[in-house]
Amino acid sequence: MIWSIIPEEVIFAGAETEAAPSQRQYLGRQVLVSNGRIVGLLSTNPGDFLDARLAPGAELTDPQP
Amino acid sequence: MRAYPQLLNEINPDLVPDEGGENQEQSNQEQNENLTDFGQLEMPKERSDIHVITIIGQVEGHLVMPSQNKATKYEHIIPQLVAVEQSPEIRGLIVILNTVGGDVEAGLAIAEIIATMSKPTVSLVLGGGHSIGVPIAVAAGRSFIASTATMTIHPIRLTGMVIGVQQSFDYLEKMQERVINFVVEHSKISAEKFKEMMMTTGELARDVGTVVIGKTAVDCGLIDQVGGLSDVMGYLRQRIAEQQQCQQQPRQGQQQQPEQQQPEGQNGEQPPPQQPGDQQPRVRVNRGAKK
Repeated sequence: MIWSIIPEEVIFAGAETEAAPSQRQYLGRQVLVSNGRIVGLLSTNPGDFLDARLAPGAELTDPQP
Repeated sequence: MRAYPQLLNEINPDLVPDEGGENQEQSNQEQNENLTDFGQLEMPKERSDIHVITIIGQVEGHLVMPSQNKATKYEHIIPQLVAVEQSPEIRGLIVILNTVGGDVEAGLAIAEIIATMSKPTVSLVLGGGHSIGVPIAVAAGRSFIASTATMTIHPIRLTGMVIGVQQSFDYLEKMQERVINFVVEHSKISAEKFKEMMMTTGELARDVGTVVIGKTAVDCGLIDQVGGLSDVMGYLRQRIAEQQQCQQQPRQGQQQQPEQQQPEGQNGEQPPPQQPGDQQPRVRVNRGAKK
């Protein structure tokens, strides 16, 4: 349930055309990647989530594995 | 001045300051590359004992938001908060908010984790802390708002097809109650006042609700203080110092205990059994600290 000052139709505009993220190995961790950027980190080690290189939005330094 | 390097040279040749050596050249080259590539000099790397989390754009929850949205992903923020809580190097947390709202459950999840952390936490609302940003802002041990920052308090909406009007209405009311209860529990505002602000007409063009700006948010009891970065840092440093003192005191108490108990033992009295909690350093939990 969304509670925002931005209307839902604006938030979800273009949602259908978004490509699904792909999963790959990066810096020894499993990450979800979309358009050369990290969108999610799959890890059970909380310490990994403090690494800025693995944060969502971070650009991959090696775009192809 | 000239005699100093010569003296060092005699004792230990390695200690002679390197004047324009290889390392210096390499470092200069790196700095020049940074200057041409990014237009900036690399700042000296320093590890801080304070962690900053920014809640920006939308709070993303169960639905992935299209990429034109700036979004804060709760599945990344929550393990990060766990890491902050368990890291011995991090002593305090600053949450900086500039959010338009987002997923209710994701926002409440972030707010609950912040509220139950044992380390000192501070929040600062800059720009805007709207809708679900409100419980996140009040979750911290102390909340600050910039004098120009705004917060919008409005009802939770349900869009799309509704099957079972009464059930949907009840569900919506329960969702709203969750938010109201959290805000009331973690700030000085009353439930009646918060509900009244939610239903005010004439303030928003497309909705009912209230916009509070800077000092108004403090006056109604929602936020603790109007302030900026120096106030936030000052408060956090003070709380960190207090907590360190608090953790040191039980240890000192433990060392003194055998000496105090000795006379009682000589009189034939049994020393009182130690409470299991006495051995643990006491840590304050932020929950309900303001009440």
